[in-house]
Amino acid sequence: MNKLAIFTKGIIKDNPVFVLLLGMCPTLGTTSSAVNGLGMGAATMFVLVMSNILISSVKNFIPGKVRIPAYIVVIASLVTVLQLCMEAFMGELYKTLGVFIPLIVVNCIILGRAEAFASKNSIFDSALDGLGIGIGFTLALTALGAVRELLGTGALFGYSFIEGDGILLFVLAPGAFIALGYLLVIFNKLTAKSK
Amino acid sequence: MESTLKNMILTLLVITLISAGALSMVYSMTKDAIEQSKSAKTLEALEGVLPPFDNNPATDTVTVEVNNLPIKVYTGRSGGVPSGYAVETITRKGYSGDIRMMVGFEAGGDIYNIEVLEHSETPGLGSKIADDNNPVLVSFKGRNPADLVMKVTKDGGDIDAITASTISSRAYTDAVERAYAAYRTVALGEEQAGPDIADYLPVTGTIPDNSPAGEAVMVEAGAKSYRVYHGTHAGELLWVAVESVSEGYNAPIRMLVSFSPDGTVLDISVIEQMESEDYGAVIGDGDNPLRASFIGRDPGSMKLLFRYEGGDVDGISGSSITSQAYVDAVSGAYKVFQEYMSNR
Repeated sequence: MNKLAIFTKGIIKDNPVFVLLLGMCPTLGTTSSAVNGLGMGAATMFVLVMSNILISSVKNFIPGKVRIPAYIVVIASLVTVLQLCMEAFMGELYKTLGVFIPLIVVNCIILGRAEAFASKNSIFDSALDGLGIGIGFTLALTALGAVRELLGTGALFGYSFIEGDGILLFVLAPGAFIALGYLLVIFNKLTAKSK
Repeated sequence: MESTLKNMILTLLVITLISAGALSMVYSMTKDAIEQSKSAKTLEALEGVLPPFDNNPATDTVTVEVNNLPIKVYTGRSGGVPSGYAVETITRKGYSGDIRMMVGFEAGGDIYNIEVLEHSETPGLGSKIADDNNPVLVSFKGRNPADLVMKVTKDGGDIDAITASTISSRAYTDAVERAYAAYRTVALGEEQAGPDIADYLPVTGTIPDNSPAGEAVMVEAGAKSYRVYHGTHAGELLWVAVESVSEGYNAPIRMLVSFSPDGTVLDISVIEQMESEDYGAVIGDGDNPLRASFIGRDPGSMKLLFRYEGGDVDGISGSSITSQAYVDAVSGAYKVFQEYMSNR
């Protein structure tokens, strides 16, 4: 697989949210607004790229039978580093994302890519894979966040477009499910055409 | 790498050592910045609710106890004279949990401003308590609580609730009431009038000839001290009453558990509680099932579990946390009773 393909498959063909359907918990929980979705996606992408690089670097030194505990320690340490740095230097985003930051550890995407790709490919390829999947994740979250914010509060990225109250449903969890479902339909329709 | 025991142990050891090292490094590098970020947030909240000040209120604080909850009061000064007081208050009666707020009082008691620090209320409904110029805030701002009946209009008070968010509005009012009590203690030096213990002491056929309310002793059990009262007549011990505080659902519960000298429970009175009406608050009733489970029985010979767990205690439906707190208070009081009797 050439380098460009590794990178782009994470965005469309293997989009973690719309195709692999992984990492649903943060997808639904942090997308009450576009900027929140963007922030969560970026944080996850950082962990994904770093963990892919690290795991790919040490893949030959980890005995097969203990690879899962080893990967988890690496991922958890990365997320803790991220959390401390966010609390110190990005107070607002840290407060908004709250408990979802440590939950990045259990985001299936990260362990999934570590096991499926990083443990079997070169460092550079693994980094590309992480970047591609991370961008795909971020785009999906931002899109969902934008839809929910627009329909739920009439604003986008904080700028009010429609005056008055929005449809409260979309600010809450059930609305997230519904919006995600419809986005999935649209995504599948668009990608089916190009097959 | 081959999965031999030696390899597996070695790899995991190395990975966790490196991880621990990296984490402690990042921790010490970010520690100061995190502290700064936290105190910047506090200062921002203080600036939002206090009248102009020239000191650092974050260093001019006093913590008082209101309803057995610790409440922090910051003093803002101008030229050394207090210009305002900011009270970091809390209520457990929010629709979805605790609500923390900062209430700013002018030196004279008028509310300068209120800011919601933390809440989990429903977005679009209860969350409006954090919005600018919402009805509850407007009801309080600029008014002196001494002139207000601090309940929502639905309950006969002066506070306008937010439409469809009565519970959140009630909780907000509860928090402000607590803040006002703290303000009175710090700014006006008022002692908080506590309940008169004499109202809760047990009544038996024989009237004590000592003065139980005035003769309390402190007994230590576990790591805490408890106030213990006793009644005697003609030199004989009539009863022993132990004041016990336990962690309730909304706030600490203060109870008086009285024992006959043989260890059986003579009476249980709830002195102070803030539990939910129709649920935990039932412990205040004279004939509630929890009290009935203990009266006349020796806690030492009872199975201190609830009926559904195979024990001897009837809990209150829908109030497991309050019921557990009640049981904890009684069993704690029993231990204190034993300690007291062994020292007598």
